[in-house]
Amino acid sequence: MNSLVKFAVSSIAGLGLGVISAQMLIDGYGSFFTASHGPWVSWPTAGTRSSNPYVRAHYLVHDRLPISQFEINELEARVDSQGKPLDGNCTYEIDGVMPKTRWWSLYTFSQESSSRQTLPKRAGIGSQQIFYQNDGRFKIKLSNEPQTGNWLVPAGTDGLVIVLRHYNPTRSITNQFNFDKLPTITRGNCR
Amino acid sequence: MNGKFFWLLITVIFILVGHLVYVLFFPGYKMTGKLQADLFSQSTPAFIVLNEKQMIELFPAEDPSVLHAVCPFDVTQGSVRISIAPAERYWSLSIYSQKGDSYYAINDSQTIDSKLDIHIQQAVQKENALEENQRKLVPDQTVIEAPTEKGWAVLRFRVLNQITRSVIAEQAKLFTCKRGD
Repeated sequence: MNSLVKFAVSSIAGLGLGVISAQMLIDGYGSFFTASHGPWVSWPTAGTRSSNPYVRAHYLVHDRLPISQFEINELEARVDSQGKPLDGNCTYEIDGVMPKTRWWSLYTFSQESSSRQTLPKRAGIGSQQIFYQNDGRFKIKLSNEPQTGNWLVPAGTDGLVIVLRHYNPTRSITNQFNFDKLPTITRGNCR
Repeated sequence: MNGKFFWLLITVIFILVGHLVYVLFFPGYKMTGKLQADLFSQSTPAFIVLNEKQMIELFPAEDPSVLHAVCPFDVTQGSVRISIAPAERYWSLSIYSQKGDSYYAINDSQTIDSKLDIHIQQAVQKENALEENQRKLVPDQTVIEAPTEKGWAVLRFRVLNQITRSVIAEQAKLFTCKRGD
């Protein structure tokens, strides 16, 4: 009887830890399959023959389809430029310039809403929808409260992820990411 | 063997099993489940332009500024032919295996006059067609060998707002996915 209890505890704890460790690698912890600088993280082998099960799972587990970086150069941010996890109750300013690409889009999704099967909000903003400054820079406010200028509503509050996609990127983007020129994400007021 | 060491070893084995099963099988299982949705219950392949509600149900974390059209197919019942119509706007086509591995991708800037015919076949179908010279390929035709029997063709179009969404949804209907000749 004692052995049965020990077996049950070992199996439940073991399977649980196995799933948690897998989910952490799938989410990019440890940076084994990712390239990053600052808050932005990319999965360079996504949608290619050199991809692996962790990279494939990263997309499919979160209800996205993996796509080649030669088609779309995708970057994700789960933290702001200070390294704090993104919170949908806060306002963020996304500030910077974009590398040369045919067009780009920026949107958010919430891992919590995806896993809980609640209806997430879907909203994005793109290169032809925003106001640029004279020097080509732009500022986008990510907030649940109405904002002046470029405004994007977050998809949820917990497990928030910002996705930046460069469609049809030039070869210089796909060959060497220049993370230094990527937009910064600065946290403002929180509710 | 020490009792504590034995149970630690059992726990480690279960950690490995849980880890591998989750990474190797869960994503494919999730993807296969989407393919079996009622939306895709038609017997012949065809592009289905996904509306907002369907996108939230199937791919809630995909880019909302992109309109998706999905064609689930099964090459065991014959080859599948995808015809790309000339379009002024950006489009891209990706073909996935049943478990979500991408094995072909192309966009409008890689085609001549944005027009293309793609034939997706099993390896044996492709060999027969070539040996018997049944299929005379022309430059704007591409033959792809499907690594799995079932799969998805996914078309992506850029949309700026709700007005262009309805225009592009109409344009997407000119792109066809059907059983091959």
